[in-house]
Amino acid sequence: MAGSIKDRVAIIGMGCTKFGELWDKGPTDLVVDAVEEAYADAGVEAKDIEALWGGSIFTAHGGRLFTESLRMQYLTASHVVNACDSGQDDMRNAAYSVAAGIYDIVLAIGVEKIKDEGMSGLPGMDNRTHTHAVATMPGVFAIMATKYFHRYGLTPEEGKTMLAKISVKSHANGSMNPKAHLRNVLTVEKVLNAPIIAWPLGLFDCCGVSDGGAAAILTSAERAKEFRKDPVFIKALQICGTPSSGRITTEYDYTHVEESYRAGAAAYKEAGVTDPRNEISMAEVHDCFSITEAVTMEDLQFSPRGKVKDDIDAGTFELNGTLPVQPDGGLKCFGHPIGASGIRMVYELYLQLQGRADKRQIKDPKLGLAHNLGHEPYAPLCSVCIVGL
Amino acid sequence: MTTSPIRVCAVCQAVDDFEEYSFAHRKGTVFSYTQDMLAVALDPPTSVAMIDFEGGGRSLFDLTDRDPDQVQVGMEVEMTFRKVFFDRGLNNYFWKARPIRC
Repeated sequence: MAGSIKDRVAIIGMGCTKFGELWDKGPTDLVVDAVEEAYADAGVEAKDIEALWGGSIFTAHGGRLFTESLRMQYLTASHVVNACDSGQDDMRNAAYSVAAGIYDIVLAIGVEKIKDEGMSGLPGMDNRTHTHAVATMPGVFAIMATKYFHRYGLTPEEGKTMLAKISVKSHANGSMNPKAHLRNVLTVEKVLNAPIIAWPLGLFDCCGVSDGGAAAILTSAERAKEFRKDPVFIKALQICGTPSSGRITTEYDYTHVEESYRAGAAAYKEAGVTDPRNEISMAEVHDCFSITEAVTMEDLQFSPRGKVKDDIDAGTFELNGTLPVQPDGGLKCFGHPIGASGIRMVYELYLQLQGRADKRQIKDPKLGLAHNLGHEPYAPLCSVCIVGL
Repeated sequence: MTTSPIRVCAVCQAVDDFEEYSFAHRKGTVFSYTQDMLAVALDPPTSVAMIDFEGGGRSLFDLTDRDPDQVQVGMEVEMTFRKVFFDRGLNNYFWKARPIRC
């Protein structure tokens, strides 16, 4: 019998660095800057923290990066490595420790200094045997776009225009976000004319590859209002692993991500959401590529299968639409320092719920959803977090 | 590093209960594909396709001996054992897919 995290744990402070190509900063700078902002926001000090979890896939090699950066005095510390879900999963583990009654105040941090890896895009992580095809991350998601266009009868022009509108929307939001990596405004024409990275995806279909850090301070629901009048409560934290069968069996349609659907369905059940499209006020989803965001809208039950184009054309997911998606610019513009991304998403939802999102403020949001997708569409790890007041 | 055969069935969780099964001479179909300009290749773009085999089974393969402009969903392919990699004096070979020759 599974329990529920709903309304048992609250976020009382958050911090997030500016994301970008931060050549003049090291991992320690990103950890310290994110955590100091979170301390100040929560009104707590280092001595109040009882345990920490840190998420990172390239930069940290154990919890030491986090305790050493913060010079924490013999603190309980863990390092969570869980693909693109690392940040959201370290927050999940931290929240569970509070829900279990083990600690009162804990810290969840995500950090990545990915530009120091010396790559444009991601270093190859899954091809050490050289016994399968060498597709890049844009490549394996591009295969999904090809299939989506084919299955739903979209010409390359129609399909690429649908995807271009996603990026135009995210850049419009990101342009209003001082912490975002990419703040330029795009037009559909500019997206369509950009160089191809992996057909049919072009440059502006791909998210930023960025350095950054983010942090959250969690406490029990009972104690939350000791720290602030507007704590944000965790409503659901779900993560769905994969049997990796989509890469070996022909049942997988390559036009949806089953693990996203299941993580979403489990999170809706945990949060008591029965009508996601109308009950979720806003979402930050894993838009590593424009096609990923399109398909995720269907997997999270915001749009019917095969119909996301209608919602994109109607502006449903724009900042003034009925279900704004990527209000902070998303991975597309805020950037994607892998270990930090999950917490960065929650940071935006947290600011929006508290009415602190400045020019990006959504009117009176009630529930926000964050979604991460690690690995490839045919063998992913997906997580969904729902937060609210 | 070695590649282990699959040990557990993704459908029924049976362990070590597989038969030897060769895909090498089975026809395949391009289920979907990309022309990847970011992948490092001697012959760009890297044409990568998810290949569905006649009789079941699927995997991702590089396409070779292909005209990138002619690749499409539904195209029939066959397997060919080809050089995939050269490093420090060693050639590494593996299976690729190519359009069926008339």
